[in-house]
Amino acid sequence: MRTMHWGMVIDLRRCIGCHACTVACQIENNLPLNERWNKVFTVGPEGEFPLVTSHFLPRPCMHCQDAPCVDGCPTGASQRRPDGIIIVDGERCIGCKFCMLVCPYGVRQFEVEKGIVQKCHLCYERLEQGEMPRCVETCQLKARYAGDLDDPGSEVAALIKQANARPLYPHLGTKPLVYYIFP
Amino acid sequence: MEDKQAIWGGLAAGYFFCAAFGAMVFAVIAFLDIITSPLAGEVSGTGSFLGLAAAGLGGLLLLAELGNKKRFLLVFSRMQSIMTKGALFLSCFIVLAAIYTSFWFDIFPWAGENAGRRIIGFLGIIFAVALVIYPGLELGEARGRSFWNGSALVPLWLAAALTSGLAGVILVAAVIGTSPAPTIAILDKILLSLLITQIILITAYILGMRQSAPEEARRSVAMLINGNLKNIFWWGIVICGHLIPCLLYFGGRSAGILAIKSLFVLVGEVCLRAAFLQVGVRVSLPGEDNEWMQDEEIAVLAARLEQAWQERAAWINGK
Repeated sequence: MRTMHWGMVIDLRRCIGCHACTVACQIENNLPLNERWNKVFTVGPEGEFPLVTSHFLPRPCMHCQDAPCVDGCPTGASQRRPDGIIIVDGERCIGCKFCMLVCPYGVRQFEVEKGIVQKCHLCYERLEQGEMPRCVETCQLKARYAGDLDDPGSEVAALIKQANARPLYPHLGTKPLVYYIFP
Repeated sequence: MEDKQAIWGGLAAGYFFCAAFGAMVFAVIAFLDIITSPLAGEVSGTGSFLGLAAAGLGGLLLLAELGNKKRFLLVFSRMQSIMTKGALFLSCFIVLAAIYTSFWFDIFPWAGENAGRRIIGFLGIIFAVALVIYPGLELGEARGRSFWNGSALVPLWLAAALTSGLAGVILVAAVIGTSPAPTIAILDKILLSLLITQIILITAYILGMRQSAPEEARRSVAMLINGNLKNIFWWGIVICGHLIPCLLYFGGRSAGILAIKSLFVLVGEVCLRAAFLQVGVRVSLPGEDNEWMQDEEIAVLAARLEQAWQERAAWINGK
């Protein structure tokens, strides 16, 4: 059986910054109020009236194919699964925070009580059961899509091709699996 | 947008300084021993013990920085990681420095065994240099923190470590009363040349980063020169670490002057590591500056909410 190569496309033209994905992620992963694996940033407003523009930018883990966090982890707690998802094994993490330091997207969070680092794992357990990640399922505006990047017939592959979706800061060379359709 | 790098704080800066200082004090002592300098016998015991103690303290600071200290042995489990390599260098160095130091104390039966001591000293120098070089490579792995991606970071940290090592040895000599020795005069001149080299390296590094394309590198330089780290840069690194020690060269070579000069140099080296560590800010994501609420504010809000729920629960339960 072919291994999936999970990826995500976020359509910024559709996102209205309702933060429902943030809250859904917190509920799904039982996170405290001050811990957000999926933040939503407000870009702008930019320009001068009447030519003013603004959009929202949700920021989950980018699940980089060339992930500095995985390369730098001294214990192997940060791992890349065969399907491309980057996860943190909480049993192996020593809380050195080096992964937080090298992540250019600042997606990792230190859990003070447990003394370990955690982050978005693309709800891999839900994916294994045939469900979509919680943020994708929650988004009422259909701004988020998850699917197999290697399948040319998948919705995400089609969106990347048709809407010229591209990752955030590709010049950093981390090869993220999360693509954005910019407005 | 980060206003300074806050993931690795004072403990990490302390570790970087202590490890580099300890390693280079040891390296200078072991080098003097290998070349059979007459000074070696006088400062070696105290000096190598100081190097060992500083590196050991650095190791403890590194341990304190960990979120989950009970699992610290796992740090050795992945050799591809630069952190694992660093931990290994530190451990090997501490073991070799401990064995080497034991040769200088008569309570051990092998004390005075010159050949064996010099072989251990030579191996210790190799690990000391590795221990000093790896932090520059480690910080260089942070692709989103361009201030640390300069190729001159490793030479700069090596020069800084050697400067602090020499200052440490001169300080030991001044304290135990062997500062009039000719070797100390030579070490003192090398220290001056290293201070000048360091001034050139720091200036070139900062100017290079100021001219570089990444926005965060220019932001880092601005923070250092006239931002929230300007005091540690101008007062700590420039004045205490370089200007005052250079001026003290006009004050002669008495033990007091040497000791004061060395202390100022060491203060400057601490500031250099603390400042360079804090100034490595991450690339700013679009809209990150407009975060509707900072994490600290959310934590306060969460605590208030929790308290309100507790009060409500107590009221409902009639307590």
